[in-house]
Amino acid sequence: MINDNELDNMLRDYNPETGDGRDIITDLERRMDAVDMVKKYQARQMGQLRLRAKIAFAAGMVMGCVLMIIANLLPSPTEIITVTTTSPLLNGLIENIHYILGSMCIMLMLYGGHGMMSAREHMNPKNS
Amino acid sequence: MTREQFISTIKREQEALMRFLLALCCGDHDDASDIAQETLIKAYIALDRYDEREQFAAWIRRIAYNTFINHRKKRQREATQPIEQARHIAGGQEADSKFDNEELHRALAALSHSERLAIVLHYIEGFKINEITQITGCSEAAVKKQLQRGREELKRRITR
Repeated sequence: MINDNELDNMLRDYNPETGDGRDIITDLERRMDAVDMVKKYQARQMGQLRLRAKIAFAAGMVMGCVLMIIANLLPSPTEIITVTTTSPLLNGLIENIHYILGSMCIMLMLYGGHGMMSAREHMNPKNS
Repeated sequence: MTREQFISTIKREQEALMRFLLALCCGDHDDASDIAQETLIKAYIALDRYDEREQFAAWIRRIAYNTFINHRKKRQREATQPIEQARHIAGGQEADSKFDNEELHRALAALSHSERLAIVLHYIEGFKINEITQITGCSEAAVKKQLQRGREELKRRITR
């Protein structure tokens, strides 16, 4: 058993061989290069996703406006379809069928556009 | 902090970091080197989250300690032999040649991870108790207790 002073001295004088630090730095720089590459790739992907989201938003707004104009120009669905139902839910659906179908078409078009852009990137990975 | 600043800071800090890890790993150079590499790359990945008001040395030691704990857990899961036995086999040849260090390493190995960390940070690295609380996440009272217990255990284990 040692006393407090001896222990303090021992801990204070602790100075083990830590080896050649140059190896650690060289290896670290190599790994940092790899991390930087991944970070750059992720940043590029994020930028593309943001751009796509902006395009989809703008396209959705334009197509929604066009849909509203067309829907107002067309005759009301109740004038074309004759349905004898008392269900308020069904009546509501039929009265607004042109909006529902139009929205679905817009969603499908945007989804298809996104898929086409993704497919083009996969075919030309150098551009991404 | 830019990449260049990070490298120059690491060049200044790496020896102290290795000494810290060697003490935590009780003289096992291989383990200490592996953990140091992992710590440094983790620090670089997390550099965006580093708050420059915080001391870099404390921040990197927190990452190093967490990496050390994960490393030990992984070892325990993988090892079929008890960890203490494995450590002596692995560290035997590479262990520091100085007798004092060897004796200290053996005594440090008998402490719990938290006691060892507190002893190394306070007495070897010179961190204050309030800085240790930031690194370990323990309360001041807990750190003081770890230091007291650790000291008593070291004094009992080291003979002259």
